[in-house]
Amino acid sequence: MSQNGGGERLGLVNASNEVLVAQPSGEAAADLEAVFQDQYRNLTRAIATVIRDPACAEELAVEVFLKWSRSRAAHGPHARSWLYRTAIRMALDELRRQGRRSRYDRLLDTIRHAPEPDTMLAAKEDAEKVRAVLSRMTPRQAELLLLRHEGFDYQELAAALRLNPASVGTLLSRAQQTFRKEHIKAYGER
Amino acid sequence: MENDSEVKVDRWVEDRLACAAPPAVWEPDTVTGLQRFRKGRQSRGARNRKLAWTGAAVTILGAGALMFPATRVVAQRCVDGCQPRF
Repeated sequence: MSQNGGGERLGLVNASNEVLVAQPSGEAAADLEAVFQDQYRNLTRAIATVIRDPACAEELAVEVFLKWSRSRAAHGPHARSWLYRTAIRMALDELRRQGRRSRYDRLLDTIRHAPEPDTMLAAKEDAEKVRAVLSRMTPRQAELLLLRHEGFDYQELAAALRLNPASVGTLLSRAQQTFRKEHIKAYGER
Repeated sequence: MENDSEVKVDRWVEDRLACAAPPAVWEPDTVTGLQRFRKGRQSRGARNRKLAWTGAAVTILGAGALMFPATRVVAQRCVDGCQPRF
């Protein structure tokens, strides 16, 4: 996990972003865009872990950045935590919305997609199982697991989810147990 | 201190979550994303400016109307006209 210096105004600008050309709207816009360029890729991949549609993940990521750009309180050293927490929350909401889609839609999806090799199909099925289990968990537990998966340490998890740092380990362990139990209950030991 | 079973569960969960990650070859389109981001910020700014101008215009028109006694008289007549009905 990359550690970004906290000295910059927006907290996330690294050396690679210094080449950015300032936008006409001013220095602040260039700072926002520097953070965008620094975080967009990983943030979008984190969202795409939760929802199946990459195009939708990209749209959602832009929405997260737009929300962030409007919320001045989210700028600063905790910007990364704010971005990931919001992204994971929005992705989980989207996942639940997708889960509520009618059977008819799902059937159409199956018909539309061309047949795939068995290995690809199996990988997709595994991913769908994970998403189904995540959508059944409480949002807080799912957020904990996903942020941990993105490389957040206990301190960062506590800051991002406003938890007592001393209880993060216990809560995370419970979330992992719940995930495993739900997964095995639905799909067996494999 | 984590015990063995906790470590196993931790790994098991991590392995499952890794299954859901997008393929390593997939790269989000940062250029298009940045364009959308700029567009979103601009349209938001334009909407805010529009709202501010509309608010200012309504305030000025309202204050202007109240400054003329004739409008107050007309307003009073309207109120008087409505009163017997209620």
